Amino acid sequence: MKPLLNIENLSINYMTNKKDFNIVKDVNIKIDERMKYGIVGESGSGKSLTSLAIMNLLPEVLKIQEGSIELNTDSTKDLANISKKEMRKVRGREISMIFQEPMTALDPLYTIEYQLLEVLKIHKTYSKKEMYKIGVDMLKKVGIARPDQVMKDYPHQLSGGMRQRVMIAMALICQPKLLIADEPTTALDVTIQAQILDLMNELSDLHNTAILMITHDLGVILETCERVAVMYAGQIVEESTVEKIFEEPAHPYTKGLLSSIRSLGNKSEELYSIPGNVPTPDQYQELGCRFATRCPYAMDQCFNQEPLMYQVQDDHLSKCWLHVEEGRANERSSERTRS
Amino acid sequence: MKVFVQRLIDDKVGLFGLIGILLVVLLALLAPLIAPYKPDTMFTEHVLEGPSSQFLFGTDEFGRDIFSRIIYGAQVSLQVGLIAVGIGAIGGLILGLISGYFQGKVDQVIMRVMDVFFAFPDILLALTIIAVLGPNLTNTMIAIGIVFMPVFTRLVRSAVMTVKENEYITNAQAIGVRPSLIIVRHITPNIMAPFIVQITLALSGAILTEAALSFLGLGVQPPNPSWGVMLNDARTYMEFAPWTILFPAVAIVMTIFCFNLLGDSLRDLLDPKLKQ
Repeated sequence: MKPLLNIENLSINYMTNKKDFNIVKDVNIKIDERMKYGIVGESGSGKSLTSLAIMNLLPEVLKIQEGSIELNTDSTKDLANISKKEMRKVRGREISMIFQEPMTALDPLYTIEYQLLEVLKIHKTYSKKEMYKIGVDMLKKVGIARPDQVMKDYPHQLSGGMRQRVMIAMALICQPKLLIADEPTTALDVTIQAQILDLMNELSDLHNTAILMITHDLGVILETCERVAVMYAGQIVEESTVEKIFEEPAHPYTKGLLSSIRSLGNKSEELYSIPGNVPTPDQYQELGCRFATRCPYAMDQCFNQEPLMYQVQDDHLSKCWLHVEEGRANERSSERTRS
Repeated sequence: MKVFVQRLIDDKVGLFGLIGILLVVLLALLAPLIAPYKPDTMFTEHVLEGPSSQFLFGTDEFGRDIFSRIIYGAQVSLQVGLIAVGIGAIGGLILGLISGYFQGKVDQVIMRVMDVFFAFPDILLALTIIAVLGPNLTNTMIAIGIVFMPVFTRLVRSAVMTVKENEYITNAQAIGVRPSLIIVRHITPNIMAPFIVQITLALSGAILTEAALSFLGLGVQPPNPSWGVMLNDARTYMEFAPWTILFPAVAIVMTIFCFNLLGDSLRDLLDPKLKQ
C-alpha cells in the first residue's frame, strides 16, 4: 500500500536576488494512513518549514528546490508541484493544520460559528442548518461544554485551551486524512497540554486521521507518536520508531537531546546541554556534517564529507560517520550520495 | 459596538469634536431653512456693514449676508471633504491592499509611483492637477483625492503587512480560503481602525486644502460660497471690515479643530493596545 504522505528528497532554499542558500536538505518522510508521526528538533531546525512546505504555505523567499511531496488520498498528487487552485482543495479538506498560538490563530472579528463553518462552506455543500449541527457536534467532540453558547462567542471570550480546542474542531471538521500540528501545546499551560494531546489522539483515532506532530518537546513525541524524525539544521539526522529513538539513540545529536531532559532520579547533577548554538543557514558547512561543530565525537572526516543515512538496525536510520567506524552501517541507498 | 459608543461618550474631547461636526453637518443639510437670506442676494444699501441684528455676521463688499454664505459654504466644504477623501481613501485602500498582500513587483511599482506623488508638496501637486484638468469644483475634489491617495496607500499597506503576519491569516490559507476572500473577509476588517482614524484626519486636511485652493482662485469659482473664496474676497477689505475675514476663518478653524479632536480620540479608542 502506498503511504498517505511520501516526502522524498525535499530541499528548500532561501532565494532572493542576492542570496541563495540551502535551508532544508534531503528530507525523507513516509506517513501511513492513521499513523502518528513526529518531527522533533530545536528552533531553526527546519521542522516548521517542512510542514509549511506540505501545505504549500512557504513564505515567498523560500522555494522548494528539489524533491516531491506525494499525497495519496483518492488520487495521487505531488504537492511540491501543484496548481494553487488544486492546493486550495487539499487544504482543510485532505490536510489541515493546527498552529502554535491559539491566541492569534482565530480572527478576532468573527464569531466561532463563522470561523468554524467557513471551512465547511468552502469544501462541502450542506444547508445552513446541517452545517450548524455539524459545527455544534464537532465542538462537543472536542470537549466544549456549552457548544451553542461558544458558537456565538468571539475568540477573546475564550481561554487559550478552549481556543485550541476550537482550532482542533476547525481542523477536523472536514475529516481530513492528515492533521499537521505545529507545536500545538507549546503556548498552553502544562495541565491543559496533556488534555489537548489526549484529545488529538482520541479524535484522530475516531476519524482515521494521521497526525504529523511538529514539536521541540520530546515528551510530546513520547506521549503521542509512533515514529519520529529528529531534525537538525534542516536535515533529518535520525529516524525510527519512538521506542528505538528513546531507548537506543544512535546519532550523537539525539543522544545530546535526550540527556538534556531533566529526570527526577539525578537531581544533584548539572543538566546536560549541547555546547554551542544551532547554526543559521548561512553558517551551514558546504561539506561535512552540519552537526560536526558541536559534536563531541567529531572526527576529521566529519568536516570534509557528509555522512549518509545509515541503517544502524532494522527500521532505524541515522546520519553519522560513527556508524561506519563501528562497522554497523548498512548504506540505505547509494544513489543519494552527493559530496 | 455598544462599548465603543459608551467610551466615545465618556471621552469628553472626542464627544466635543463629534458634536461640532454634527452641528456643521446639520447646518449644511438645513442650510435653506436656517440661513436668513440666499447666499447670493445682494443688499446694495448695506455694503460692508458690521454685524447687526439684521446681518448677524455683517455683509461683504456686494452687500451679501456673511452668515448665510458661511452656512451655504459648509455644504461645499463638507461635500469636497467627503468626496475628495472618499476618492483618496478608496483608491488608497485598493492599492494598499494589493501592495501589502501580494508584495513583490506589484508592490514595488505601486509604492514607487506613490513615492513620486509624495515628493511634491500637497498644494503644489493639487495645483498642477487642477491646472491640467481646469478649475472647478469637481476637478478640485479629484485633485485633492489624488493628493491624499499616497497617505492612505502607505497606511493600508503597512497595516496589511502587520495583519498578514497573524496566524489567523495563515490559518485561513490553511483551510483553503481564496486570496481574494482572505483580503475581503479577514484583512480589510482588521485594518479598519487606523484607516478610519486616517479618514477623519484627512477630512480636515481636505477641507483646509479646498479653502486654500479656493483662496488661490483655483477651487470653487465665485459667486458660489466657499469659505476659501470668502477669505479671498475679504483680503482687500480686512483692514476696515475685519468681520468679512474673521467669520469664515473662524468657521474653517472650528470645523478642522473638531475633525482633529474626533480623529485623535478615535485613534486612542481604536488602538488595540489600549483595549481591555
